[in-house]
Amino acid sequence: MKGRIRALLGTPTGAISVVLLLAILVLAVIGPAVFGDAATTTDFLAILQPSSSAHPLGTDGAGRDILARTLVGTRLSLVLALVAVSIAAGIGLLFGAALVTIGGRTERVGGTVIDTWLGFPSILLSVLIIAILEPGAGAAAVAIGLSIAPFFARITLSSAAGVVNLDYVSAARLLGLSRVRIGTRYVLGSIADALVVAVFSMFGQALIAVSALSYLGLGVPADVGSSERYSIDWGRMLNEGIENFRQRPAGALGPAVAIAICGLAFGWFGDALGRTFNPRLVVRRRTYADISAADS
Amino acid sequence: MSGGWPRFLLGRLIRVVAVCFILVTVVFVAVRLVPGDPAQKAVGFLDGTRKEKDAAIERARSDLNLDQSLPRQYVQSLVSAITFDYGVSFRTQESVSRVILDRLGSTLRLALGGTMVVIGIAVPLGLIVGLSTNGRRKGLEVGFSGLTGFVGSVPPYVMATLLIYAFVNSLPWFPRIPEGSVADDVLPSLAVGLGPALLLARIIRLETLSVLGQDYARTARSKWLPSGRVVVRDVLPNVLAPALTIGGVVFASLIGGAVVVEGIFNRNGLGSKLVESILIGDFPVVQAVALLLGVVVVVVNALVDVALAVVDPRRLVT
Amino acid sequence: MATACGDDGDSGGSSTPDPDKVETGQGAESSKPAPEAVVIAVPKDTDTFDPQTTLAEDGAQQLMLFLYDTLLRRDLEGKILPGIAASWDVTPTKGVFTIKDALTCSDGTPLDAAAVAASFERFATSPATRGKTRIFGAAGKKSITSDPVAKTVTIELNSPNNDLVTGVANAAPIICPAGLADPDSLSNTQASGSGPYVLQPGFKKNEQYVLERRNDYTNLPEGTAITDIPKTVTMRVIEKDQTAADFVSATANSIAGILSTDATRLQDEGKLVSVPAQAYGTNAVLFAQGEGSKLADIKLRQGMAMLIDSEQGGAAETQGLGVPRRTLYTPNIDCYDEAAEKYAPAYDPAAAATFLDTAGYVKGADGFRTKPDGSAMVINVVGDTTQFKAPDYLAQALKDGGFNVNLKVGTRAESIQALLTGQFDLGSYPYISSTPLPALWLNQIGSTGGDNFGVVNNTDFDTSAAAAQAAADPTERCDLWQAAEKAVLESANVVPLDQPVKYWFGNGVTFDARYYKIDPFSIRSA
Repeated sequence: MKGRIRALLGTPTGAISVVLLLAILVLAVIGPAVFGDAATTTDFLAILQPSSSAHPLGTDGAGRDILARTLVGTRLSLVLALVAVSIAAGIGLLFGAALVTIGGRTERVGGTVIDTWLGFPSILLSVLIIAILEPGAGAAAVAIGLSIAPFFARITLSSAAGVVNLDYVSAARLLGLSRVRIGTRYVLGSIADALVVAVFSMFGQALIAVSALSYLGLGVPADVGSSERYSIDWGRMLNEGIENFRQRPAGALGPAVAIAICGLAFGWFGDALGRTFNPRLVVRRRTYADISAADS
Repeated sequence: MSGGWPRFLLGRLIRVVAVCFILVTVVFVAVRLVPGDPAQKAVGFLDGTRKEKDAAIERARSDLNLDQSLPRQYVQSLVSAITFDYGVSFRTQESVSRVILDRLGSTLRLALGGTMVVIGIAVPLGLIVGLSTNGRRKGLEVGFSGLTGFVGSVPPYVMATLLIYAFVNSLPWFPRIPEGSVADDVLPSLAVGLGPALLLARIIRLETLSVLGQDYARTARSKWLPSGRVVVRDVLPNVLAPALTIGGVVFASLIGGAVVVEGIFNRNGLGSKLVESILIGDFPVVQAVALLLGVVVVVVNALVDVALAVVDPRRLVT
Repeated sequence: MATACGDDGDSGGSSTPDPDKVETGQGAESSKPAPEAVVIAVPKDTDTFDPQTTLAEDGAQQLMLFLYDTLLRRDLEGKILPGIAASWDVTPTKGVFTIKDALTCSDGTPLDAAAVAASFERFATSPATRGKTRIFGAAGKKSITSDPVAKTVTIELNSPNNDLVTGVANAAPIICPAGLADPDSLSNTQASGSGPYVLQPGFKKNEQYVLERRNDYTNLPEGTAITDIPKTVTMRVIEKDQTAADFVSATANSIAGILSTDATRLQDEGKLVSVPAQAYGTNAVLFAQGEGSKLADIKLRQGMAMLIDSEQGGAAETQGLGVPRRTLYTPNIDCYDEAAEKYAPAYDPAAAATFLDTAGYVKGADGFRTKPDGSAMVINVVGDTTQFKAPDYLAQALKDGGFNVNLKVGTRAESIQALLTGQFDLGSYPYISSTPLPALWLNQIGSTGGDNFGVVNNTDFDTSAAAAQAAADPTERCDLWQAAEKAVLESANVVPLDQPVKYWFGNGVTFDARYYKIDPFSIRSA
């Protein structure tokens, strides 16, 4: 465990990402409470104001403080991305693993289905799903999750297919281990590092996907009044900010920078975490001795 | 290995057909899951008495074959998919084929442009950074990783807004909306392509490093072969695989997926049409365009597979 | 919710609106002819080429103006001028129009009295046409006849309509025989009019329409020569105002109308010709108040009106570019009375709280106001992004007032659909006419009006408005229209928010403009 943590913090990017993530998490927890009032107080007679001491980044199209909104938006944006990626990873993994376990022609056709699903424009898929489910935070998360899922299915399928052909898995089969056991223990275990990297690197994509949905008015619906603080997300902010870009660029740049920083932090963290599962970039070749020792 | 190709191609073809079949089914189901009565939506804008409206709704229902049983509707949608008879749009009454053809040109140009940006930037960039770092120059590595991670996380339409600010408003080099020349496609292609280009560059760099780190390349270099030869013979082929794969994915997804960027540049693409049609319940257009997009993806993926097999015949086995 | 239901009439007769009231819309003077080619940006595609069935949003209105002619014309000051008709003799129940000689349609066929009559006949009798009551009145036409020898068209109505002349001048483009014979093609493929321009084939829907000047066109306004107007007019569909602002800045000989804050930036830059045009009328809150609906209760509407501030609501809707209003009529409209403000419930949230409590809308256990019978109540506020922050403001004002509000801001198409299918409780709606006359509200607020989406049923309004339409004496007419406005404001059938201003800009060109469209004959090089 200690070795793992050292591996995590060992690289400069890893260390930075941990610090960033902690800051982001803190913000997500305390944001709405601390900055919620500033973020939701409207002033329709003072919209799109330039930076001032009261409003470091100026005000948006409804007179609200842009900086406060960016900070408060951390929570919902993060939660949406988290739920979406979890759904995607869960479904994708199961689907991919199932295909590998069944094997044969089903696996091949299934692979093509995954590739088609993957290649189909995710925003269109999301729109269709939201049209079916009615717009809302939950629908947005499910829609994005379903459109990212094939990515994980593909990774699982490709990596697992590669691993399945490796010597030690054949050996495990010879030793009489069940298919399911092989699936979970060896196959998934071996591709764990790739999966971890993938999960974290998809965070940024999920955040961006929410913003695209908001552009079409299908993201998280706006609330009004004081409780609006719980429905602020960077996607919607970004969309509104771009509408007023020439007048007040900060309205768009605030959430855009936030999304980029988050994407970066999660990506670096994922890379670092992946390395702890697998110190070298190449898969370690295990011997028969390792397998029998591990199984007894 | 001449026996490998026919079997390979046949296998791919069967898979394409199978997935198209699944596509038609999925689209059929999805479109019918959207709440609301499509006949009602088709008639919605009519001005008239209650009775006139009710009659119009009944007519629309029979026009759309909605008064028939689901299995029959399914068979009908299969038949129309094969015969390319997609009916007319509710909103404008023009044929769906016309709707699609009108928007195909602009969409294709953006897809091609974006793909060219992705491959044209990622391959040279990834190669150069990979070849010049290779374990040394930690600073460049972190800088590259940071830059690609940051820019890769910038949403395409933020990219578009920034590009417009720089190259349309500040430096009047490009048109703001399509004007009929090739210049129309430059900024939109960059907007959709830069992010994926940088992410692909990372992968290419990793592939480059992985090849350079492997034994046979090291052996080849140690025999004093010029490194240029190593690059072309060993590195490039391995780099082509992810480049082609991701290039294919990018192309296929741009055929429908550049909705937001299209909106910013005021282009009329298939993606925006599909979204609009889903939102107002224009059944025929949704079915046809969704199907078309799916087929494009399947076909492009199959073509990429073939291309990869040409580059690396070992792939004929899977 | 926004359908740009444009025009309506006034008693043509003798009165012309005070020129002092029509303060904007006039472009800079120019003695030069127009440039050869001009591009006009429109925010929305036209839905059809049929001017009698169109939903009449911005793009459609502008296009029809280039392709079709009307019997009469109106200038910026409100004076009625000859159009297809050389002279006219109109009473509230009968109009006799003498058609000019030698007029032709765009396909070359002659436009005579019989053709004009056929166009009106179709307008009056086809179920697909919209807004016929503005011309023919609620009771409809009695007869439409033509006399080939006298070259006249006679329209007789079943009940008196003072707005016949202005309706004919603004809301009745004449469709040529070819179009009447083939309505399907008229919908989709080609226009069929007698206007100064012809639509070129090869147009791209939702993108671009190219119009070429007809050199055989003879029906020009007095003082205008055919060479004065542009040879080619291109209408370009540009959906976002921000994009249109960039476009007009960068493109020579272009015109665009801007509602967003980009207008301030363009004005400050000072490089373009600026022609601000105030709308005739206001954006007002529309309540779904049909029988059985939540807002059918007058007290609930009045209470809500007290929670809504026109200053903030107006600023929210127009991003500060419009004029806040609490009256339905605006200063540039006939029969405007500033004092009418007092009839609308005043903005007073504290008083509103007491008022609503007394009316039975007390707060329940969850803190939200309930119906008088105690059951829960959710107010659905529906709007679209073209209304900027108005829907958000309305939802917030009501929520602050204690209501459980559900806000849905969608695309324009979605909100129109909600409007047409009655799936809303309230939203902002444009009670805006393209002419300085109050009669539009007959269609939008009158209980039998075709565009009465709120299902308003205010008998006082109906009576006063109908009497105003039939009144011969202008003073009596205005008194009646003011009584109608009073009835509407007191019952809070609508709550006026703002009078929007559209900032038209020309790059190297000047022109005259109204809120929805520019005058095709007025385009000149700046």
